[in-house]
Amino acid sequence: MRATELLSRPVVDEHGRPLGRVHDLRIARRPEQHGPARGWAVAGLAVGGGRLVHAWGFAERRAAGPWLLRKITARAGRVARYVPAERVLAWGPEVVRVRTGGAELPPLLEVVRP
Amino acid sequence: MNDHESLRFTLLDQQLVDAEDRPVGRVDDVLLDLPADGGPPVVVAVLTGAQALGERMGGPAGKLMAAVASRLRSGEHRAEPVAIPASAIGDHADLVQLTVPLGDLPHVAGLERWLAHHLVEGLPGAGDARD
Repeated sequence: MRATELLSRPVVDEHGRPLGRVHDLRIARRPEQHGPARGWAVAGLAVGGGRLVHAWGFAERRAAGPWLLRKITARAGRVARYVPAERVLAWGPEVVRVRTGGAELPPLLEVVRP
Repeated sequence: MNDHESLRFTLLDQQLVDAEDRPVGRVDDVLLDLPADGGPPVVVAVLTGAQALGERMGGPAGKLMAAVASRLRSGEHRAEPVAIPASAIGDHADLVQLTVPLGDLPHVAGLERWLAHHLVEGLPGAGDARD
């Protein structure tokens, strides 16, 4: 599976309700491996908020300006959610299915380090 | 806060340099594998070159780019884009640093090497373009 195939794939909950699209993959170094070349695993997904908001870095406050773009993208950035990999029931091929248990997914900005 | 990072900003489209700091291309896509035990996908390789980029772009232009890049490559694996295994990736800050020299990756930057040897090297002042 290519990472770019996963980007923009629709995300639905266990009842099929749409949650947005995958706009970024959050990756982390694999803890079970050591040394400079230890690989990465997908830790979670950044979902919703709009593609450009993520591509330009506003979703995780990586970009700070210009102010007009910041204002325009502010709301979209706030609705972006983080889906931990443990909650993913199926990665594809058509949609990513996640388990929410009826709870709200955490906002992306609460869990990412810019 | 967690220790995970954005794939968009830390891997995708980043410059690849080999162990001797020579540029070897860009990360045009990332190959993921779903473990049989049901764990999250793991990065098994980064894909680089016009073939990977063309397949990522899609559409007629992307297909054409991928097909031409594939035809220009030699070897039995030319149907697949050039892949650098995750085990060869070291640091990544502004650049994605490989842990091996370009010479250890004979399938990477094949067209650039061919052009360096057959075209650039013959130009006055080019020196040894393969370096």
